[in-house]
Amino acid sequence: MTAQSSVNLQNKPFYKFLPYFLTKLRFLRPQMIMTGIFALLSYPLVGIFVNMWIDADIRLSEMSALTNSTTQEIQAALSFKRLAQSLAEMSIVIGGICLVGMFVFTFVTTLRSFRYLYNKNAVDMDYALPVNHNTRFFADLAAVFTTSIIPHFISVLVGIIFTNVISEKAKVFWGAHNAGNVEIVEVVSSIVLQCMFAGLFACFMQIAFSLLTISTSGKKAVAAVFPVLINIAIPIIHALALFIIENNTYGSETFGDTIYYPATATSPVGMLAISALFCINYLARGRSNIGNVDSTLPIWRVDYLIWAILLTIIFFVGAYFLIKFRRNERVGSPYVYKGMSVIIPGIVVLAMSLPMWNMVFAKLAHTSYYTPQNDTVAWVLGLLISTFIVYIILELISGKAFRKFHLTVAKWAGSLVGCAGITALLVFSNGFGKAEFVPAPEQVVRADVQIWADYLKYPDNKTDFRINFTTDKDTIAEITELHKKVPKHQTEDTSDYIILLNYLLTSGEIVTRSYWISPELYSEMMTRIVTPKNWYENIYGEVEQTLKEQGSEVGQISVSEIEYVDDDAYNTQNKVYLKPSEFDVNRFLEAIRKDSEKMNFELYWNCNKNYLNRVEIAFQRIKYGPIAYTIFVEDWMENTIEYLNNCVNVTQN
Amino acid sequence: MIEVKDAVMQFDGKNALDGITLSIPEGCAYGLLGSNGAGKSTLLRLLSGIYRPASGEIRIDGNEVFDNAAMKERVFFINDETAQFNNMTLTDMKNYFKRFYSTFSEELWQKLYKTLNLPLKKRLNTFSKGMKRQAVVICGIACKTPYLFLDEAFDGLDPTMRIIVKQMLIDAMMDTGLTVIFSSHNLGEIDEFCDRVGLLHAGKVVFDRELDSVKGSVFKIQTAFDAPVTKESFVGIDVLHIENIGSITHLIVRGERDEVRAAVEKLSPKLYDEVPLSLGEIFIYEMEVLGYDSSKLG
Repeated sequence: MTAQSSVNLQNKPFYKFLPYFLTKLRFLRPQMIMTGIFALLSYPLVGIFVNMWIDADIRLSEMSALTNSTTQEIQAALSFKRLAQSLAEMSIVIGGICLVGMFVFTFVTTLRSFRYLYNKNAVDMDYALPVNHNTRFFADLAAVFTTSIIPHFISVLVGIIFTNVISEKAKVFWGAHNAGNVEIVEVVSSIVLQCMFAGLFACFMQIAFSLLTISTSGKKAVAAVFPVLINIAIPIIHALALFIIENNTYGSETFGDTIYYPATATSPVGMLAISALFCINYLARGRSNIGNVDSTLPIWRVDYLIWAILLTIIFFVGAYFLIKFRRNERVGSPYVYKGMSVIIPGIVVLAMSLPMWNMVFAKLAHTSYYTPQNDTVAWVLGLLISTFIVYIILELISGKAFRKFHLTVAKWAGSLVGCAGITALLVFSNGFGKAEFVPAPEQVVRADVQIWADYLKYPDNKTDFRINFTTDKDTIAEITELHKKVPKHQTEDTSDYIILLNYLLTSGEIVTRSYWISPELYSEMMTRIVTPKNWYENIYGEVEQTLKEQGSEVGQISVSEIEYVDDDAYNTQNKVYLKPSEFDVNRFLEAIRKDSEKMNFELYWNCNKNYLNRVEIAFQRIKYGPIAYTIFVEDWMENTIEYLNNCVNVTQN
Repeated sequence: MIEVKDAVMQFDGKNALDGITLSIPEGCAYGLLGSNGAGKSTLLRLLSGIYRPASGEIRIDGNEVFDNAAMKERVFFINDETAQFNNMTLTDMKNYFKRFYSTFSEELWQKLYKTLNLPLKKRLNTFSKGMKRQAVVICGIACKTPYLFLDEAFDGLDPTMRIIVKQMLIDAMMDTGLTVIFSSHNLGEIDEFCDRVGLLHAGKVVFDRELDSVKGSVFKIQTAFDAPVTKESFVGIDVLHIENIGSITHLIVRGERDEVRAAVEKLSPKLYDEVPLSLGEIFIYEMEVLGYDSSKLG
């Protein structure tokens, strides 16, 4: 090298960023147009037509209320409302399809923007340009965001405006008919807004997730198919892993769909699927959830959100380095990183084989309550055939010509063994410490404990007791103390007594455990938890709470005598309606509270089926609508019986 | 100046370039020869910063090229495929390169474009292979980078176009001191255009010399002896090929003319006549020595 020919050229980190970004943006023009169309036809279109629908409904209602409206005018308003309703329904269907389209196009745009990862010609084109890795990576990413996320985000902003406008109109309109509807509208619009941002976040995560997967591939078919498969496989694996851990951990109890909620944080498809599951669960149950169950979408719970953000960052950082250190000469091979030819098909096989391996191992471990009794051989055979077929298809997608077919078979067998190992780890892990976990009292927002003994063995006694979702700190501390005493393994002589614990933690997580306990522990626990305070709170706490929150406006009160027919059924007779104005609920509860001072485990154990009266009280709640309570009065409750007797004598209809 | 030192490139664990060392001075027209799969395109991609060497060094003007944007702005690479530009028009392509190369000369591009008279507004996927080639070459020249690497660049050009494009390159070299590396299987073109050549085979450099030196060092001798001779009869000279046709023996020999003549004359030939070789013949005989022998095929 001569002195003259040497030129010191500094490699600036974002050299030629703008030209490269603009070039890529121009290249992504078709995707931008498609995403723009999808964005326009999603929230804005739905917003326009739903708004038109509610306007038409309001107009019809006003027309009907006006005395001088003609039949023709009302008929016209009705027709327009029907038209608006059908347009709104159509727009919701179109909007849904377009949202799916935006999600899919986020992947397509990412795939196209980073095409030099799997296209040999594009490698020459992009890498010969005077740009470095930073410029290329961040400008391509910026182009994907501009193409996919910005139209989506604008659509969400328009959606927010429409949601607010529509919900304000709905609150006024439907709230006029029933005060409880206001709450429903508020919750539904909150869920709609949460869903909009969940969709946006899912697309954001989709870019990171797809990019990470594409960055390991070197062939178009692999880059186009495998991210989709992995995107579907990850939430399946996550949900199944949670299910397996839950079912094979002593003391663990499945608690509906909430155990699958962590899968919202690990993949874009998982985020969308869990959000949809939550909405279906929440909204399908209707009014009973409103005001009683937390309406926060799982992804917006802090613990899951932190994980989702962290993972998205990890995906981006991982992709950055995988692309930086990949070898361009390997473009054209299915995978630029060799290990991926085992890992990526292995993930798909894992998603398929987890449930089947679980059937095998759970049976061996004798831990799962839900292990079916089917013949294990059938499961293993099914597992072998199905995974083999899928593995062959995956290899074909990778472009394998099966010249060394035995290698494919070996890789498939290796994957299966690996998957078996992972499943065994999950089955025999005893929940990775979950079985031993007892939350600290300060971690617990709300606790619920139920204890019961075998009814058949003690038919004449009251064996079950519950502390119903208490938030009292002392009671929570007592519950966690009792929880610590429970053996965290199955013992031989404890099949008659069960304790079921349920905690809502400050993190939003719900922890549910159920254990067999010994007769001694049962007695000790019952002695400690059947206290005057707990007994009263359990049975009358909710009535008292309603009184505090809503005032004592009572709609209807009835008292009836009870006649038992058999162990579980009774008849009510001599029903008496009391005048609400002359029945003082506070005094009634005061009498109960006074009686409750006698309560202890012995009294509780021996007082079964000595009910005398059934008191039904209906309250006119302002916020959530009317509610009724049934209160049983037992023969030892002298003060309560005396109050009721006086009341009936005075106020009987 | 381009310096390649012990560069190794691997494809699927096999060495595509096996520790090659080259040195190409500025302003040189360098012809890269080699059999199919010898590593010519790989070397050009290494020099363009598209590939990163598995080991060894690739330096241009003292700077590493891979991921060095400022250095890459001094290099223009035309590969053997043009499919990546298919969706562009000629104007799009010009603007594309103009955005990235600050040295791009609109004036020069207009001048070159007018010579070729290609359609401006048609997409390149409607162009013939030769037209696409012309389009990329005029963009490459108009970028006015100090280094231009062409992989099979004349492939698809008709004879007239070959002359025109060749002249464009010569003009650019004269005007700006452009260094051109030119890989081709058309040895006639390299013979006409290059002043230095390198021969690659199986990822190794067979030779890297001035063209005149290459041509001067390998030559053909027509000779005749009383007794039959074999390769081994010629001690002290490098006989690449020997063929006996009747009483005449044809020798392809590498070495200094005087030394070769002295060695042959020790065997008292009845006839001694030196015949110059074309680059194509040199290529064939050099490759034959390396086992790349057309007579063994088919």
